[in-house]
Amino acid sequence: MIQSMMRLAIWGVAARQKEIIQEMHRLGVLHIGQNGAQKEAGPEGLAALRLLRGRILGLVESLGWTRWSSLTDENIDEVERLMSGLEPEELTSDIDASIDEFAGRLTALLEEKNFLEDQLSRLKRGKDTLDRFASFFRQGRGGEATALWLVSGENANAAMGALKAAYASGGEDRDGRIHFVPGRDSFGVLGVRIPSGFEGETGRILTDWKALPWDMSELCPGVPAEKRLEALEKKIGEVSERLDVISGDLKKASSEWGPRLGALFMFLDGKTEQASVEAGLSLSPNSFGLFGWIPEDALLATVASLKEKFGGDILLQWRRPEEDEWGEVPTSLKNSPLTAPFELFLKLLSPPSYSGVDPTAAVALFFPFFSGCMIGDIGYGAVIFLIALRLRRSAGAVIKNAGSILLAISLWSIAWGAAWGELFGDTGHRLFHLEPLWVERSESVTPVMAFTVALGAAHVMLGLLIGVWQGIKNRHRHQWMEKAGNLVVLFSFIVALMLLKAELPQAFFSIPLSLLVIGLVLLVGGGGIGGIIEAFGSFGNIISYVRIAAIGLSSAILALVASSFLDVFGLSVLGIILAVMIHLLNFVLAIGGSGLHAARLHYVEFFGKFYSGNGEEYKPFQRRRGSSWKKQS
Amino acid sequence: MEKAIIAIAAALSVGIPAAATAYAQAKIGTAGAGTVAEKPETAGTIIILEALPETMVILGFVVAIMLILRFA
Repeated sequence: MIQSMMRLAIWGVAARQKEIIQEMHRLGVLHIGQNGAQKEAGPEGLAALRLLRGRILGLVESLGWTRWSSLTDENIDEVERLMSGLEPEELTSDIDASIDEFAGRLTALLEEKNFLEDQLSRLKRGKDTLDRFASFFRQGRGGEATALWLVSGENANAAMGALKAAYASGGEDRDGRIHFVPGRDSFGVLGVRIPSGFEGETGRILTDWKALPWDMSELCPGVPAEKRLEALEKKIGEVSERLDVISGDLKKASSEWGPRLGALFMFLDGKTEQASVEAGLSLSPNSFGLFGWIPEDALLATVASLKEKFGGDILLQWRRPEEDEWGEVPTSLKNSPLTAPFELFLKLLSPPSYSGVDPTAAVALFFPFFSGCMIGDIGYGAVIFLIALRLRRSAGAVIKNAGSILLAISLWSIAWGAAWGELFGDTGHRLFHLEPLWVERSESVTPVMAFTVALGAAHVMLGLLIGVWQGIKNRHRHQWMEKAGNLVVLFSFIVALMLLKAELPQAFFSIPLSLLVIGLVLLVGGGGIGGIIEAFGSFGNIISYVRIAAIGLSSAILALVASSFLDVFGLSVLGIILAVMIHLLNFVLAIGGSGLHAARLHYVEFFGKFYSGNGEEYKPFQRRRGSSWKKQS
Repeated sequence: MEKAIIAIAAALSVGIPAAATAYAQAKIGTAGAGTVAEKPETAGTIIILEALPETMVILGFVVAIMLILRFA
């Protein structure tokens, strides 16, 4: 559900402004209002703080240190104690000076590392090319010079032809030898063993064909062609050794300096945010004012804490937001531990508006139900259960939440598995004579399809009902009329179907007909012609829930196929391996497919009926925690 | 012979929308990947857009099942 928020206005004496802002930052509950913070402009000290913060972050990233989650409040408090009492100007100059030497050494190391990595890559490329000339060099005869030339691929054949013609004119004993190795780009390397007396002629021919001598002077200067491979190998060894030393130094520096710089960054970040808020305060010579939004359940504790610390130097006023302020109020979600993990689904959308509805509880109920219905296998459910337990032990909040969601899916999968009578397909039936509690879905398609359509109708109508309630609550006449009209039209069709099924007299059909007329009037009144089109869309939405049956059916049949390998190959190693592999494939498809399709049914079919994600996320003025802030910055 | 024709009709009623969906999703997917790279906050909208064409296959599946149940 969406937490109730209060507008808190703080008036304080100017002399204690810094302390009060610092305390609000420590308490971490106030979402600063639009007039309270002026993020872009500010005094010079603020600009210097931002610059320094950026510099520290740059150093941390250069070190490759990423363990932000390991930083504790104590680490940051320690930095705060060391820096306490310093004004922003002093703070920036002191820190700047103290990290200058470290930054200089780090930059030198990183530059050397980059240079060596580049050199190593060029050396390796050179060695790869020379490797392909190894036999060419070995077959050299005394008195012949060997040379390597860079030549474009399109000229290589012509150049080689010209060289051969020239050498042939010198007689049989002057045949020379030519070997071309194409490179990665349009150029390749031409190795030429030049018969004595043809040095000048060879150079002239190759220059005519726009070839360049490749003496590898930048990699192994002054080394003759036949010795270069050896020289390159030696140099590769030396460079790799130096790179290892530098990497070791960087790793050591990262483990030593990373946490310190990380804590310093967090401290500076807090200072920058505080200075930014201060820069945007409404001021008079002796006092200042700050306002923002605070969750109602945190209000009393905050007020008591501020009163206790600042006594008469602070004046606090609070009230509920007026209706015309609802658009500015940030949205904070608060759900029970059972349903809170499902807030993950709203992270992919803009948060609901303050006056809107938090659908987390409905998602927590329906998502695992749909997903479990598609998987519908006791064995698969048990495996998912074990995976979920493992994920829930993880330290990361997102993975932990994913584990909780999987746990709910696993329980529904087991329940639906019992309903369909599936345990690793029909293995349960073969081994334990497991029978379905309801129907065997691979045989009885129609009842399952009818059930999923009914499920869809209930889900879509619930969405419409929430839409009606939201429209009435926010006094949006058009919204509630359109949603109500849609709901009544759907209801009239359901009633008509039930009457048809019950084979009641025609007179009874006046009920759905009347409902249809009322629904159409509401639809046109709420959304005009568009409202009627919207109603047609709702029928499509309901039919879309057939996917639950369709995906479940494909999963059940694939599981049967897996077991049938045992029939074909018998209880052999091959049969068991094939069956396990197909089950594994089916399991992965079942988890992925069911999750995606259940999510889609929520995002498109359900949320489409009421959700308006135009809210502002509640971001309290507080110290950053974990590493999620990096994604936002 | 009649059963074979019904089977072909059922297969086509799923196959043709499946091909159309694949084409639409490929187009949406390439555009969506670019959009998410630029603006990660649009991920939810892109998933919705990517999922929309699937309805065609589901409707095709319904038609196929109706064909099989009614005529086969």
